Amino acid sequence: MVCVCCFSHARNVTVSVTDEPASEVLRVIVEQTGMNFVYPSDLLADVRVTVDAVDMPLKKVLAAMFRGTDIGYRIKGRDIILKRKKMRKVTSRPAVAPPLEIPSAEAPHMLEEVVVVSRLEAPAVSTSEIGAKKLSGDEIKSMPAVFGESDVMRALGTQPGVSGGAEGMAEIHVHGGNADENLFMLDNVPLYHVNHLGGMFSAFNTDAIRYIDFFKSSFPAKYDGRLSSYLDVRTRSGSLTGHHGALTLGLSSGSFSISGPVGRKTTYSVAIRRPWLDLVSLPLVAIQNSSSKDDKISARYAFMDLNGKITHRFNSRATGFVSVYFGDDFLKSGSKSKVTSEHVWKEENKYRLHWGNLLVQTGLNYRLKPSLSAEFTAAFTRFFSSMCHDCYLMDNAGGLVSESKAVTKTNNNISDWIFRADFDWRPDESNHIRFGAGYTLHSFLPERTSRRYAAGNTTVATRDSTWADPANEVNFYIEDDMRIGTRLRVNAGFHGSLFNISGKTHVGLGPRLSAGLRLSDNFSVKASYSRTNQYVHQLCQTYLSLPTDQWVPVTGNFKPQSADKISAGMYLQTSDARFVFSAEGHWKWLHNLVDYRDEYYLHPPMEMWNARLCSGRGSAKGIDLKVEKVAGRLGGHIAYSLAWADRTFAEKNGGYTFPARFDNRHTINVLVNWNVSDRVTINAVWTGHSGNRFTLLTQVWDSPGFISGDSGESPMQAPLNNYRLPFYHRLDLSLTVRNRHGYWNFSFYNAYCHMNVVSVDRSHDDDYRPVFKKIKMLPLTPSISYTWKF
Amino acid sequence: MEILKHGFIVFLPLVFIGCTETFDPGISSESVLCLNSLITAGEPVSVKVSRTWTYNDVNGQENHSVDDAVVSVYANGELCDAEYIPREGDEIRILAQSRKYGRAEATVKVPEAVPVFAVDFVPEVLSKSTWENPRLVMTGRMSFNMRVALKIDDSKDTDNYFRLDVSGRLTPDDPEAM
Repeated sequence: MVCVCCFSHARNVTVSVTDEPASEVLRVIVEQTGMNFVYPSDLLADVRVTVDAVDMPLKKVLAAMFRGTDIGYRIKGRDIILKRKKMRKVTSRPAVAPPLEIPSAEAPHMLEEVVVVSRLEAPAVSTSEIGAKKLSGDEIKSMPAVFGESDVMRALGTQPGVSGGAEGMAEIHVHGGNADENLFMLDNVPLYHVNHLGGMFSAFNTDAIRYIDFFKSSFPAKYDGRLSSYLDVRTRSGSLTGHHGALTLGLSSGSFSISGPVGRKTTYSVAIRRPWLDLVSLPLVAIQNSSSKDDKISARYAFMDLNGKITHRFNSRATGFVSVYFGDDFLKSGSKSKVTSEHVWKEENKYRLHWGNLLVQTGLNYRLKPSLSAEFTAAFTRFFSSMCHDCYLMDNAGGLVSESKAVTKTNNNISDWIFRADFDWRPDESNHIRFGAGYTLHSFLPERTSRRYAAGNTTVATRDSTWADPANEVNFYIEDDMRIGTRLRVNAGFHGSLFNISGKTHVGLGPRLSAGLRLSDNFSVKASYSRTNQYVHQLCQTYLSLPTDQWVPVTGNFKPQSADKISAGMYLQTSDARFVFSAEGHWKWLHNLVDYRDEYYLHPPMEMWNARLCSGRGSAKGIDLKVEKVAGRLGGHIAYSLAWADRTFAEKNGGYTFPARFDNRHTINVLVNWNVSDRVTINAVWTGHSGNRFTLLTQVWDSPGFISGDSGESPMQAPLNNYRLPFYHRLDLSLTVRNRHGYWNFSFYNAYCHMNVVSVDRSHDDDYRPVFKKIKMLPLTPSISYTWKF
Repeated sequence: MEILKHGFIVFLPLVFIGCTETFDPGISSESVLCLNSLITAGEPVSVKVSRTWTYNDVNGQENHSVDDAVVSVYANGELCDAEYIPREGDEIRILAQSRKYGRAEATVKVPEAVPVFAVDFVPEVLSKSTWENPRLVMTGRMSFNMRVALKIDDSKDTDNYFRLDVSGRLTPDDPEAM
């Protein structure tokens, strides 16, 4: 049985197994530490181990695992190399380590064929994939972040070719793509909205994360449905050794996680997170309200995350699980104004926003035979958002009272039922075949707005004509990761899809090909081609990532979005594997992109939502450079990207090509992880990139005043994204101090307090002269938290 | 969207401290000629020529007139004189030229008037009140719902549009008349 605790220090491991295949235990260690295992393919065949370790150093766990065997290990950078020791005989094992099933002693031999635990754990020089990254939960936690919350999105934002979007936004833009072109999955099931608080926090609670797999250049055939990147977040399972947990309290949020056994074969794991921002805002609101007797404001925001998972091991071949994720945000704000004289006038406005995700899934992992395993999944995922504006007016003139109430409500929902089967087959050492198929029943409600106005005895209610769109999607894929000789590795695959909506069926063909040629032990070159298709997209009306950004399916005369991407790269690692250098280039062509057309807001509000859209194309190209130090107490990387991205729509910008919003020409990321001692770790991230693009209306004209009410200045239309915001840069620092019971974390977001520009406003100065103003946000933000482990 | 903007505007400053800074964006942005016209069948053509100015240019805000503009009005391809009165169906092209700010032109077809057969309106008074306050111009207030029924002939073969100008202000001299 395999048991993984929900937490571990870097290089500390919690694992408890009894008579389990050693390869399974290595997978657990990989997930907790982010280390890689490299070993001969036959080394661990039939090797079973028993080990019981709770938060133990990695070396001690490895020593315990292989004690009494002829297997030795050597740590080289982030790789742990296993090989046979020169032993004459196998001695009996000490009492502390239960007996192992040890293969017959064999003469030591040279490493030729090696096996890695998963596709992303091998050194970059030895795979065929380009732009792939795996991060363990602990590596993500080691990243400093705003308000003390480490974050998956921010961790990915340090990778070359990945932009963090607007200041403070927990979103990513990959190779000039839009935020909706990234597929985020929780245990292989899509989540549509992954941001809390307009993007300040992502929906992934790091307490619940085992590891993430991220692909941004070459895409495995398994993944499709987005144009720019794929992120699969894998959650932790419970522990069989006992009940373990962690409680974290910080200045702005808290989290609690616990896991443990239920009987001998079942485990549970629960993690919950909630901020205190609503408590922080209370005194601020009170101070604001104390300045005026008649004018009041109210504001309250909160969110919560819940991750739960129950895992049951039926036998050595079958493991099933049920998991649930629920993320919920609500924002309430309002204002009250009152004028009292002989005439009493009162106005009350209430704004309520509510959005979130619900994901429930059940899965079965079944090993059909040693070389073939299957994963069956059934899931329901739902994104919901609603906005409501409630306006009340009261006029009391000498006892003659008139009242009116107006309510406007907008809903946006997506519900998916997903059924999928994925297979993993290793017919021989030269081929690794993955194949599978799935069916998804979508239900889209892109936007439904209702308005209700009541005054006196009169009530007027309207509701727009948008209906829920059901859609059927079928996917299938197959890929073979082939080793051709000792130097060449090729991954060839295909992803096909059918998307049926409103009586139309769209066909998506997605060939994938990547190849890596290892010119020497430490140097390789790679190239890849991928075609991806996207049937749903998000419409952004503002610069920020907001819950009102509607997810809509491809409908009407629009065609599915697609992208063709070619990539090439070269990878070099030093002989001691301490340093890895990579250079990757990409060129991407985007087809049938969908966006709002110019002056879309002039369309009648009750018109169908897709009447405001238009279709276009885009392109992106660039080069990503990275130097990474993967071993030693001092690690990290320096990454630089040079990129271009543009868009062309016949009905936008007069048909002229314009730069994409996240056309960040230069991006530099520096990440430093310094393990000062076993107790103290310092992390730093410096990010700098060319500013995001922004449409700044610089010219104004005077209305002629021909008709009543038509007067004053009006802005003149300007080329889209004509202005680049100032260069963005920021330093985040984090200090972690561990003790026997847990650890303290001190973090500084924007450590040198350079407030970055998020937008530009046309405003007035104190003398009411027209001026342009930069809007800056997020100064130095210190935070402190303590995590107690039990 | 307005809902959201308001909600976030109220909330965000309370949580995320921000600031603003006056600056000049430095975008190369030149004034261009601005041509506005109102054409109504049976009435003289009204044309106003001005220029745009950079938003933070105080001088431009105060004076954005164009002193060297030449305006030409063409009706059905022929140059018109000052006596020209537009008729329904005329295709009118207006051209304005300036040495400093370039040229601007627009072409439009004078729409045909749509006859209004009947207008019916039923006001439902919700409340009315009067008071005396020397600081306020308004000394009376009335709230009402107005149901308006408009009957027009809208030919399905004609590509047209309508503008409903709903405005009005009740300012009786005698509050008691309300």
